[in-house]
Amino acid sequence: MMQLEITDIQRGCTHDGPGLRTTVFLKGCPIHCAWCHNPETQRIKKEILYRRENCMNCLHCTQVCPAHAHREENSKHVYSPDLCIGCMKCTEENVCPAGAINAASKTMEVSEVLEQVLLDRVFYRRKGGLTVSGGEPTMQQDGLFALLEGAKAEGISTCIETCGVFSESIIPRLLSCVDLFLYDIKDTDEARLKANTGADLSQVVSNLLAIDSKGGASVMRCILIPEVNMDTVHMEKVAELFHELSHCQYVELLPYHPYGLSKTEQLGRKAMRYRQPEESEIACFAEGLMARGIPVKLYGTLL
Amino acid sequence: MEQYSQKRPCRLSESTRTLAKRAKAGEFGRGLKEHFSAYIEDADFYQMPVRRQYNACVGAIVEQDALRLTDGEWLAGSASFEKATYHLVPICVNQGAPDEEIFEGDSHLTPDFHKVLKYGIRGIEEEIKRSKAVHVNEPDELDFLEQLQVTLEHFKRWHQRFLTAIDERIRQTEGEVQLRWQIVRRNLTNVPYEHAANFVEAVQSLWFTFAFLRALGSWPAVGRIDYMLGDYLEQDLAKGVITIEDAREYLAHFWIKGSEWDTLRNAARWNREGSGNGQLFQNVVLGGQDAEGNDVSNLVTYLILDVIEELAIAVYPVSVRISSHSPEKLVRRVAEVMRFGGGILAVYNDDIVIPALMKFGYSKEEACLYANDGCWEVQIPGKTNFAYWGWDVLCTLQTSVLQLKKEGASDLPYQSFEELYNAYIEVLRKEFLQMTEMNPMYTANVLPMGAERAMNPAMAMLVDDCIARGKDYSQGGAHYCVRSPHAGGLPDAANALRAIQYVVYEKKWMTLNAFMDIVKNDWEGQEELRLHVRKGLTYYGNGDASSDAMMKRLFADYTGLVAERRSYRGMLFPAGISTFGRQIGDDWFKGKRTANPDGHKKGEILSNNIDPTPGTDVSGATALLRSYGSLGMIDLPGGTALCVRFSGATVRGEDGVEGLMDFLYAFCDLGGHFIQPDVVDTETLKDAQKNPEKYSNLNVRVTGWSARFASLNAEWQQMIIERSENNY
Repeated sequence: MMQLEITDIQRGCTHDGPGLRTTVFLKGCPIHCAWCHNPETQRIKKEILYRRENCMNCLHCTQVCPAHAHREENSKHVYSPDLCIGCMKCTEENVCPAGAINAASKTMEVSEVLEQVLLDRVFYRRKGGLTVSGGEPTMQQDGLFALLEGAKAEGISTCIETCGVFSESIIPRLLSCVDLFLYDIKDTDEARLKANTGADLSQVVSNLLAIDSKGGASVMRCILIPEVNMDTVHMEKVAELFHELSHCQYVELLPYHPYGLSKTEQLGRKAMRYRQPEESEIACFAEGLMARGIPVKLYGTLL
Repeated sequence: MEQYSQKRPCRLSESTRTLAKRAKAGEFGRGLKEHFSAYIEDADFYQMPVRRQYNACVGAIVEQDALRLTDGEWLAGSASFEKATYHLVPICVNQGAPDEEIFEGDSHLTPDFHKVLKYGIRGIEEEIKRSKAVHVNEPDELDFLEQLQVTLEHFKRWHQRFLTAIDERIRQTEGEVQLRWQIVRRNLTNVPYEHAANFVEAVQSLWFTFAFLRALGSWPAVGRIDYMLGDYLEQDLAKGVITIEDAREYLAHFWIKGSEWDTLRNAARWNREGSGNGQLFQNVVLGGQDAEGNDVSNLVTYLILDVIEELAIAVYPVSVRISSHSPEKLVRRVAEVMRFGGGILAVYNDDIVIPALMKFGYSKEEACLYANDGCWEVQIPGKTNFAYWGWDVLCTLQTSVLQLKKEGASDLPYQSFEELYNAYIEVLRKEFLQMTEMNPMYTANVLPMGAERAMNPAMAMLVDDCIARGKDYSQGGAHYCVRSPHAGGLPDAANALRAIQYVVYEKKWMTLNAFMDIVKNDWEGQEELRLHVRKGLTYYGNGDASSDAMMKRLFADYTGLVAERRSYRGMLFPAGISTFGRQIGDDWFKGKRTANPDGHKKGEILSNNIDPTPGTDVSGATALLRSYGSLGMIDLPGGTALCVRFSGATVRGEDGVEGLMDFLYAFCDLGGHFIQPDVVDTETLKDAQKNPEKYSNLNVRVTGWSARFASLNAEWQQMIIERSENNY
């Protein structure tokens, strides 16, 4: 029995690869981007999301929590995320009637996940299919392969969204079960990438080159964050990298949006806030790439 | 960055775009104020036989009509008396009250305009003559047929007055404007009296005839416009007598003319307060099949989609008939226009609608030709007198079965869930049979003053078999008389049953009576239990077979019991499911409902048509489609509408179009009936609620129609906001 730790199965996704797709989000990531859109996928361990505004102070959770992360103070519920040991007792049925406590993830059998994906098969009739995202999907390598290979066996199109931080040794197997790599190039400045995310640029690049040299189709996805990576040097390096590849279809630009903030707060962590780029700044970056002969996708359209 | 964002294309001429802007700003609708109705001063009016009274009204309207002509229009004809927007024949008699109901108009039907294009009024005159010869010894039929002849003379007189007025405009104008009036004059000279000889005459004839019915206070649907006009355009293009650009302009003017009743405020007095500016029942159907099953989509289909994309005029709700086998070209174009939002386009699935109509008993030829009425209730066009019966099956459950309105402690006799469930189905069966035994006249749109005043000769000429039978549209002339029961609140009733099953019979937390006492008390002091059944249970709409089971069972039993009496005393009863907004407002369903066992308090806005109860579908649009498709729409010949709302980001760009296409094809593959996808962000709606002045052009799908968001009252707006947004 192979299992996966899943934060979400999102259906009807239009921007996670070709056609309408079902995106499976796996928990756990080797890097920690300061701007992460899905902060609940970063840690591999089980966590809860706590929505204070929903709490009705029924205090049921304080009676089941062995770690005193949930406790009563002056008849009010108080939650300390640092004390949580991830036992998930507070997320069991009938504990929180108010929907204030929710598990950030659940453990599912791979077969069960595949079954969920296949439910939407009718929507994959033209180009759609399964996209595995995260977190970094390769963190749960065995389950990931079982899922992707299962989907391939069913004749379903497969994509993974990856940050490129994984062992080179798994590339042959990935190539056998992934139709399209949505490959994140978060930054091309080695020091900045390390500082902001913890990733090693040379590993990210060499894995992409290795995939490409063996014929793996890819899309480079570049997040754009003002004051972080929207400079000309980064743009030029993205262009250079693209030209080194033979099977990369286009560069997709993802302007930063503070989607992850409320979930970061629900996890009890401090959120890092960036400025959203102006349309003119995005245009400047896009036009620089296009001037270098690169197909660019923005807001779902190839420019 | 504007070049990268979604912008409406610009294909039409500047002057057409300008005129469209004026129409959309409500200029022509507001102009109705200047001409309230025609007047009759005749002390003996009510002493005349009713048909003569009606004829006098039509005569007065035709003579007194202000004949709105606007410079720059490419089409002539207008319905310019305000009282017609009351769904009444626009007449005032002997200084009676302005809103006095003298004769009512008809709506909820697609008349046979195709007949006028093919044979002209001349053809109808001959049809009447032939029928008179048959009914020569039947005085009432003969009298009715003579009334039709009088009506046609009035129609011709109205036409002549327009020609004279246009001649006057030609004399008074010069240059481009004069040239345009000369072309309009030429196009209107022969039609609608003669058959349409070309595309331009066909468009003019269709509009003029439609306008005449509206001028007399009726609100017909337009029907299958591309099917009616496609051949004309193809022939003209082959002959080289028109360009594609000009054809698009003519169709744009059809859409501009259609805005002449749009005041940007609540549609018209006949409609419910707050339900928006767009409920005028002027439905258009595109695509689909001909009687032999061939795809009829043609260049006109695409030109109309161009016009909608560019002008965003929403006064005609447009339904496109597609199927699993529709060409990608058509589905792509529908998706491209749909993603702009506005709720203008909706989609039927021919793979289900046609077999459902055939299963109900229509022939394949009739089923293939289906169109709709004023929203989306399918009907056989040109031969149907249609009305639906709004039936709150949730109220039936709450009141008759669970007795939640009875004073004192609950004392229900049901020993098991099955007993309770079966009792409910029995009550529904009884209510349905009672409805079928009502006098058909009282289920039609007739005046309280009596069925003998239900007459509409202009409409009767365009509905089979009125002429052949010598009987009026509402007096037994229509080939089919359809009285469709429409269950409202079915998903809420299923949720209520599921909650009872769970709390009382599975978990055994309390007895049925104890549980019902809590609900009776509007969940007072029982917040924990309320939240548990409200949020802890998975209900219909999440793509999960076990959570859909109750809805599926109820759907099957409802459609089954209605199918037991398909017809009775000449009326047909195809089952449908709708609320049309009756879940809102204290005067309709909502005011009669109690708190619901699924955790809703009294007065909350519940399910719209067959949509899941707000907040219960949490698994996304694909899961919702699967749930809905699993119910078995082939057993719902009267149909139902599913609303799905997408955020702008979800459907933006080429990726968004591809995704919507997959969604529409899957809708067909899953056995859907009719779907109204809309694109608008929750944040936008909330902002529009606070700052209506910033959003005067924001259109949304309401239920069977679209409206300016700002023209809806707060409760209707809230319904749109609470509709689950799909945002990925």
